[in-house]
Amino acid sequence: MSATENSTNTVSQYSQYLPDDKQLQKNIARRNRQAIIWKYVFLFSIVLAMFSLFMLFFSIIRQAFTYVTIYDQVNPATLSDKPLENLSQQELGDVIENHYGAIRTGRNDIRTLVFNNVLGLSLSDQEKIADRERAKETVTVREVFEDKDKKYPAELADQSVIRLDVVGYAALIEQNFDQEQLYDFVIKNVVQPLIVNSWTLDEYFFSRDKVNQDIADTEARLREDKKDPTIELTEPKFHSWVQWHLITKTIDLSRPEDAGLRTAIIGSLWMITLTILIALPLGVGAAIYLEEYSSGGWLARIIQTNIDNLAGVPSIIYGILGLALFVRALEKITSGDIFGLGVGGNTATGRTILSASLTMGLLILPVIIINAQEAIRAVPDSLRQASYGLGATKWQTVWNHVLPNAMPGILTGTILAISRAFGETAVLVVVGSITRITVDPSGPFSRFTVLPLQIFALITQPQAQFRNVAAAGILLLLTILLSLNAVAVILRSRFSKRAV
Amino acid sequence: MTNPNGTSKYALEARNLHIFYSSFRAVRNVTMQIEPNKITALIGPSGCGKSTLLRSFNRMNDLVLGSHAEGEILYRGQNLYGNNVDPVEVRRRIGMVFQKPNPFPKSIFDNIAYGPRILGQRNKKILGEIVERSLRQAALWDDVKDNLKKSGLALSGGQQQRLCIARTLAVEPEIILMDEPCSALDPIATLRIEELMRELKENYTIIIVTHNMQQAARVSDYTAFMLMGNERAGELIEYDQTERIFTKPNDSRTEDYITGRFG
Repeated sequence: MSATENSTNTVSQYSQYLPDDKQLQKNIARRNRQAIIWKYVFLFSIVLAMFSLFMLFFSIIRQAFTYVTIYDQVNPATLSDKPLENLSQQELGDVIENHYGAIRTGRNDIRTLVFNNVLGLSLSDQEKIADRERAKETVTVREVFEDKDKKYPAELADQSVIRLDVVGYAALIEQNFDQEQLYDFVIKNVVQPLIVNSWTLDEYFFSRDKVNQDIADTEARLREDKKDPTIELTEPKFHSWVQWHLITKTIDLSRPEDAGLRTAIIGSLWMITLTILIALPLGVGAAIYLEEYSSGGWLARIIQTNIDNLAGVPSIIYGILGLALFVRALEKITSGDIFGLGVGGNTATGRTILSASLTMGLLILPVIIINAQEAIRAVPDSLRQASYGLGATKWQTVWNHVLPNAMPGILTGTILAISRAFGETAVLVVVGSITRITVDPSGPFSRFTVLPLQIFALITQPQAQFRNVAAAGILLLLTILLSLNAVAVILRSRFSKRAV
Repeated sequence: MTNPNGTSKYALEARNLHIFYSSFRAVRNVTMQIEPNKITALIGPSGCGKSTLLRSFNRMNDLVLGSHAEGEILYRGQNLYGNNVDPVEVRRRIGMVFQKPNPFPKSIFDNIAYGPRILGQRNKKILGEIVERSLRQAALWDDVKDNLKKSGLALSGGQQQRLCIARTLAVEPEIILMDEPCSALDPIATLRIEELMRELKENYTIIIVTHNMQQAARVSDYTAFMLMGNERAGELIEYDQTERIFTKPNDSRTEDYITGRFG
């Protein structure tokens, strides 16, 4: 009984410092209000983030699908009475012949087209032919065309392949193309349509006045430039800039509708693959050493601090390091010279995919190490103990238990690192990527460009339509990036399942 | 170990053993002999160093940074803390079962086959036989024989602990160290583990750390009572047959502890 009294006393003593029933209700209401305010603050952050993301996609997609008007540099009506697509092969051949026959440099132009489009000769092959001709040798049509397995009219067989007239070249084109190919050839090389105006969908549908004004302005400008008052633009029509040729063609900075990004895509994929191959094993290895082997002495602490700080170093600084170390100091290796793989002995340069990947590898190494360390630390110690308790060596424990269980976390870090490397530009500008390259990289020792840089080059072009190409390129960049990440996500979920 | 066939009257023998974590002395001057094919219980209040002592018997303490030992632990006449002793071999001969069941996140089969596999046994048929024998010894075979591919984590707590015991048995150790193996289990699962321990002592020497004095009284043949002494270092107070410790202890502190006057 006395004990109960004592305890009641104690409660009443303290409860004078705590709210009574009435105050308690107010107090709870106030605390609930506070909780609700915070809830809405958090909700607002999410909404803002979603809105930004939506605006980003909206502005890109808006630029990638537009209405355009086209100016045909040669009016199709002057070429033939019938619509061009209805002409026969013979008639299309005549159109080509007439067109190139009428212009002063026509013979040179059409010869270049035959060499490039019909024969697919490389520049060096063309040089060789020119050299032999200069040496008074005759390089015959038969020799060149049979070498490439192409058809040629018998009467041209023994003539020099570079000394034909326009009629001869036109005949060669006509022989090797079917009607559809000839039609495409005529459109591209004779009619030469140019996209001169582009409007986003909202502009086109909601500001007709501006569209009409733009058309009138452009027409006036063209009529004045070409001194031809009959010039008329086509009716505006829908044009998707996301097209298959974006990944099949190389960059063409004269015609936005033909510009492709193949070289940049291949360059990016080479670069990212090599980067992962370099950085992932090194990063995971370093993380394993730091977490499982290092005894945590002062040296380990210094290394750890440095890695943490390196993750925040601006990428341009890595670029300068890469320039000094890989491009310059190790030029013999990064140019492939040492393996006899360089792009010709005397032009050897370290500005290769390998240099870029090594630099990029250094850039993402801290990110991979830190994430791998986190993942390794999260593996429960009980697993290590169980493994050691059975007489496993350190390596067996790491390989059989620590790594498989840390894998999902390591892959998460890798996803972050890939994303960073894929979109990185500053490093590559310094290390020496070139934007006007049209030769696909063929290996680690090739010169190269990457997608983000190519997109930047497109945006800086004066002609407005290149911004539409850039928007399509950005969509492509995002698609490739998401596909790369999807692979890592699938791998991660596999490992997570295995670990349960 | 240089002397794998050495013999000794005792399964293990600690001589003037001190264990340190960096500069902190966790266990002071323990000398005791572990009888073969018996169950020896280490009891004492929290922090008295009994787990540390147990973990030193198969050098699991080496995994703690900065830990080291002075004195000797003799196994087959060889000092386990000698210069030419590889802890990997010690642990393969002196197995361990932990406080919390810690099966690998793998199938039941792989859990048990892991030990033989790391020792180099790759033959599927032999591995299958080892798995079955170990599971039978651990009284788990009938529960899981149809489902060896199931994850070890899908078992109940008591089954998981028996799986861990089976895993230890699979590498055929001579001595099994058990660190409070039943503290995470319910009373029925505890009884099954105790029953299992009595069966296992036919073939194995068992050393068990327990907080549960009834458990020590029920299963063990010998009991060692430890207590935190000067500078918080654990000391061995009394070591004798379990019956003596629980009926006529020599030291008054032992009597105070087992009668529940402190601890």
